[in-house]
Parts: sequence; structure tokens; C-alpha cells
Amino acid sequence: MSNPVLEIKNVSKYFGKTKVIDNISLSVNEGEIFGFLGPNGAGKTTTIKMALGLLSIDEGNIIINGNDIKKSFEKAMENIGGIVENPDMYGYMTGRENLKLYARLRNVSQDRIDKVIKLVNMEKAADQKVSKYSLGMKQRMGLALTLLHEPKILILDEPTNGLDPAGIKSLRDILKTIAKEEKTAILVSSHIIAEMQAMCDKIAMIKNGKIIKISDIDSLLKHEDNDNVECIVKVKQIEKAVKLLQENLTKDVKQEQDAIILNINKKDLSKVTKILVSNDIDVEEITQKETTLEDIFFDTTGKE
Amino acid sequence: MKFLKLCQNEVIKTIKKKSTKLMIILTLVSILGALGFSYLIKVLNDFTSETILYVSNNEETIKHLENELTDNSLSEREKGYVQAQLDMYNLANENDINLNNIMYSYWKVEVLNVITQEKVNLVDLKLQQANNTEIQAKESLINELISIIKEDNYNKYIDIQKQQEKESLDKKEITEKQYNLDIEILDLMQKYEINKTGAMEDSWKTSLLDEIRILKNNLLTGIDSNSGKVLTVEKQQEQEDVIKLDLYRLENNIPTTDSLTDYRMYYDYMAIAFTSTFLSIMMIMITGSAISTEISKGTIKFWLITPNKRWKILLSKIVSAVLILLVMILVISVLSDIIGTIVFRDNPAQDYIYVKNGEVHKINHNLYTILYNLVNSIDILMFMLFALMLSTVTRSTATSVGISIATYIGSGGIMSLINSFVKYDFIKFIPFNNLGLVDKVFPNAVSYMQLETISSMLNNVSIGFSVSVLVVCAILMLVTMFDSFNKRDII
Repeated sequence: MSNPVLEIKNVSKYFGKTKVIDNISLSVNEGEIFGFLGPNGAGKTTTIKMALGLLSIDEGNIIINGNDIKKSFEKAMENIGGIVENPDMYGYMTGRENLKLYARLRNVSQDRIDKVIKLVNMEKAADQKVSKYSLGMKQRMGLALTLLHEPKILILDEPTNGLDPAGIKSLRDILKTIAKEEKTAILVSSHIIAEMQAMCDKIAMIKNGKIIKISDIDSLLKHEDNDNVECIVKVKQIEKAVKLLQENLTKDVKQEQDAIILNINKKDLSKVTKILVSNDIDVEEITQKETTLEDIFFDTTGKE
Repeated sequence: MKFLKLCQNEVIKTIKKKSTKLMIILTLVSILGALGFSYLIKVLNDFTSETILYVSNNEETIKHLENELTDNSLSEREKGYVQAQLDMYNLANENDINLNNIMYSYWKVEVLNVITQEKVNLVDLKLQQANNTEIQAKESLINELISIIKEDNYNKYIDIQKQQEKESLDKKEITEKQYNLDIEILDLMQKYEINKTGAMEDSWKTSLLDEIRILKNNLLTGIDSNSGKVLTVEKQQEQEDVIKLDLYRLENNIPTTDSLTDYRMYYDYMAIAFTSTFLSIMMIMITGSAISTEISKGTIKFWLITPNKRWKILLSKIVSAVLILLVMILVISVLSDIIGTIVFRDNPAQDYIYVKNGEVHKINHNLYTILYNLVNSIDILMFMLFALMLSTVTRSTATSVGISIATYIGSGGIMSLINSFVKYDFIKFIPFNNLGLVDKVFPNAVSYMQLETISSMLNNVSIGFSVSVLVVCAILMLVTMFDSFNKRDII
């Protein structure tokens, strides 16, 4: 489709003798929001810091818009923007002053500063001291900072950390706008699965420094949704119903508090009702459980 | 171009910090502190001279001596001595000389002393029943001396001294060369009216003349009277230069730098001492937090992901700090000079004078203040690099600023302690012993109190040596900080 803006090729990193990143490879295309999903301590931030040139790369290469970080650092950095951990700015200066500092280094015009402030909805607070900002405002101002020079790739580490639901939604909207309108490739890391599902086009799951799975989010969800479905049945006579279903349909029946969960083939869904009703059981509710990213994540990474 | 913008950013970031603003204000206000200090010295000086006047005067002494005369147990000779003293005080009283209040050389007092001595001699002569001609000669001498005082005849006082020198020469008590030297000194005395007033303001002239006499004598004999060693060619040159400078001061009425009543000079000195202390602390605070605060607050990440190599970011911090230092030096120098000129209107500042190639040169005072501050800031620069190195290596603002300020304040005392106990030559390689370059560059500068105890300890170290030690030291610190900043990960 299009050229990858960020390529991470067989990268490994050691902290002392421990291998914290183990042979990671991935690529992000322009206009794509790429989710980097993994539990705390999996190596997300370390990978991102390597991509931003904050950490040295022990093995492998990271290429940004065709420029290898190791060989041509300054060229590679021209096309990158990012926030690691927190959007740290100088608290004793206003948001706009912070932007100006940054703009000076990137040859950014005054118009662009105004435009970016508008993009992140910070027109009102731009001239306040950063130390008075809320976390959400800081996140947005930080985002404005990284967007100033129209980077080809934007790397955000846990951008929704500490934000309230409204803040998360507005951040998500902004990111989607940027990806669509400015064709920016975005790499977002997070350990919150629902957030990723709502935001990303593509996802890489990482655990213990290794990438376990990379896939488009749509095909990921569809793929898991093959023949078997999980079905939740709520009835009055639970014990009797469990017995009936086990005898007539499938052995895979679990009783969970006031509900029965069974894993059956799609074709057999209609049989469930039939069996229960014909045996005089009062059926309150039968629902098909939707597969979420969470399920897939735990399936692939294993529960801990 | 991009580097200049990095520096510009650093300056903006530093200036906008509250701590920097506060320190800039403190540094500038400390000029007023220096003003207050010099005023305090003036008040103390005035107070001291007033109290001495009050404590005793001639009348009291005269009464005391008269009482003593009535004591019958005194021998004839003793009575003669007391009478001689009484005469002196009476004479002093008649000529408005308070003998108890003379702290500085005054020719009349000297003459009075000679008179008294001669009278005592006369008493002895009379008791020994010496011949009349001898007694008459003494009496006429005494009368002549008394008339000098009464007529206020300073020139005659000099003439009599010259006459005595001549007599000594005739009696072969002194050599021809010695005689010439003494006459030369007396001529200088007459020319510049030294000891003519006995006032505190003119006391510096007396010290200068003494110095000239001693140095000329050294040159004459070829032996340093201070150390008892034979003068080397260099020492000879040095002493000749000092004589030239002293004569220049007398000729142009420029008081020496230890003059007690030149409050403008005192103010200038205190202004430099105060401002350089505050400026040092300010610059240490700026550089000591430059890297560590940005790392702890996380803001360094924004700069590291801009298209600039790491060493450029560190270098821009050094360049901007030096820039701030230079601007501050300029502002301080000009401001303190303006304030000094306004406040001490009737006490204009001295130009700096020095001898080079046997000729006396002058540096305009305003220019000199700037130059002095600039050379003085070499010390500050060293401590800045030290603080920045610590900031980069330890990544802790508290540690780097704390250690740097402690070193800045404590190094002088510790080094003077070490220098006074360790007698080996290698102590001259210790960087701290090579600070205080300004004292070597401007050896004739004002120095009321030894703030820089360090430099005074090792006089045998040349400027060139000190500069090379400091340069090596600076390079080591730079290498350490750049290496640490480039290689270590930002976590």
C-alpha cells in the first residue's frame, strides 16, 4: 500500500546482562495508528525510547523514513515526534512559550503554532503557565509540541495515562484526525486493551520483550470469531439446566454464579433454546458473548 | 545556525527561571551592600578619630608632669628630664599640636622629639660641667629648632636634616653613596611635602617614601634587607619597577591601594568581592541544575529527540551559561562604576597603573573594572564547569549544586591549611592553588582583606603555569561531561 515510515528490524536491548528486548521487528505505515500492547514491564517504553534515540540500540536497526537512527541521527530525528511517559514541559513558562522554544529548533512558523494549538483545543489555556495545567491539558499541549513540525511518525507512550474518560475520547479523536488529515503514522503504546481496540488500526502484542502477535485489529477480531461461540444462558433452575445441556449438547459447560457459560458451535445455538424449553426450564436470557481484544490478548499471552 | 538557536533557547529557559531572576537581583543589589559597607568603614574611621581626641589631650599630661616636678624625692637629673618633657608639651600646646592624637608621621612632632632629646642631653652636659661652648652650641640648636616650629618652617626642617647628613659625611660616618641616597630621599620629601600635615589622608605618602628608601637602599647594597639574600637580576628589576610606580603615585597624587580614607576604592573593592560571590553562586546554580533538572523533570527528552546531536545540546548549555556570565560581568562593572561615580562625587576613582618595560602605563578606571571582573570570572568559569560536570555525571541537582558551592566557599580555607602544612613542590599542581589569576594579572590591584587566601600562598607560581593547570583541568572536566552525556541512556 504505502511505504513504512517506521521500521524496527530485529532490535534487541540489554540492561546489564538481562535481555529486555528480544529481537523485535515491526513497521508502521503512514496514516496508520499502530497499537503497542503489553503488560507493564513488557518492554514497550524501552522500545519507544530506542526509536526516539533516547536509548542506545544494542542489536538491530531502527529506520525512520528511510534514515537509520544509528547512522544518520539528525536526519532521522527530523521526521519524528514523540512523548515518552509524561508530557514534560517547563512549568514556569506558558504553553505557548514552550511551543516557541521547540518551534525555534524546528523552523516552525507562527501560523503553525496557532494551528496546532487549535487542533488540540488549547486556545484558551495556551497563555497560562504550564504548572497550572491539568494532566489532560498537559497531554494535549504535549501532543501539540510533538505535532509542531508535522512529523511523519508520532510516537506516544501511554498517552491516556491518568486521563478521565472525556480526556481519553478527545485524545482519541485528535489522533484519528491527525492520522487521517496529516497522514501521520502513529505508534501508541498502552496496557489498556479497550482503549487500543477503540483507537488502533493494527496491533502488536508484546510480552517479556518479545512480540507475540502482530495483526490488523479487524481481522484479529474476525479471525477469532470462527465457528465456536461463547453463549451465556440465564435460567431459574440452573443445576437442572447444566445437567441437561451436558447430556444433550456439549461437555463444555461452566456454571458461573447465576449464569451458565457454554462453548458451542454456531450451528448448535438454536438447539440450546430447544433443549431448555422442551424440558420446562424458565429461560430468562440467552446471549452470545462478543470476542474482545482482551480475550485474544489473554489467550495469546496466557493469564497471569 | 541551528546551534545558535539551541543557545538562544537555553538562555531563554535560564532567564525565565525564578531562581535565576532572584539571583540576578541579589547580585545587583549586592552592589548597594558594598556601598553600605564602605559607608560603615567611613563611620567607624570618623568615630575612632573622634574618640581618640576625647580620651586625652596635652593639658592632662602637662598637669601630670607638673605634679611630678613638685615631688622632692626626684634627683636633679630626673627633674631635668621631666622639665624637658614638660617643655615639649607646653611647646606643643602653644603650636596646636596634640601629642596624644598623632598617629601618623608629622614633622613637627619629630622636631619636638629631637628638641626634647637635646634638652635631656643638655641636662647631662650641665651636670657633667662640660665647657661653655658645647653648652651654647646645644642651646642655640634647641632655639633654632623651636623657632622652626614657631615659624612653621617646613623647608628649614629639611635643610637642617640635610646639614646633618653633610656633617655625617664629613665625619666619614656614611659613604658618599649613602649620603647621596639620603639627600635624594630628603629632596623627595621636600618636593612632595611628606609629613607636612600629619593627617591620616596623607599617611600613605610616608609609607611610600619609606618603601622607596628601603628599596633604593637594597639596590645600593645589592642585598634584600627583608630576606637578607642577594638580589637577583629579576628581583632588582621588580624593585626598580615598584620604585617607579611609587614615584608616579607621589608625582600624580595617587594614593596607594591600602589608603584608609579612599572610600571609593574601598567601595570598588567590596563591590567586586560581593558581586563575584553572588555571581558565582548564581552561575553554579544555573550550570549545576542544567542537565540534572532537565533529566529529573523529563524535559531533556524533548531536546534529545530534536535533530541535534547530544554533544551540541550540552555545548549549547555551556555557551549560553558563558554568555550569561559575560553579560552579567558587563552589567555589574558598568552599574557599579556608575553608582560609585554618583555616590563618591568628590572622590573620583583611580586609574590602574602598572610598569611595563620600565615605563608607567595607565588603564582607564572604567575599562579596568571590566577587565578585572573578566579575569576574575575565570574562577567562576572553572566552578561552572565543575558544577556542570557533576550535574551531568551525578544527575542530581542537589548534589552538584551543593558540592560546587561548598567547594567554592570552602576551598580557600582548606587550601591555605594544606599549603601551610605540606611543603612539597607538587601542591602547586593542585588546581585550587592556581585560581585567583586576577591577583597575578593585576598585581597592583586593591586588596584590603585577603579574600583569595589561595593565591597569596603560592607566590612562586607564574601566570603561564597557572593558566596551563587550569586549562588541563577544564579539558578533563569537559571530556568527562561530554563522555557521560553522550553515552549514558536517558531512563
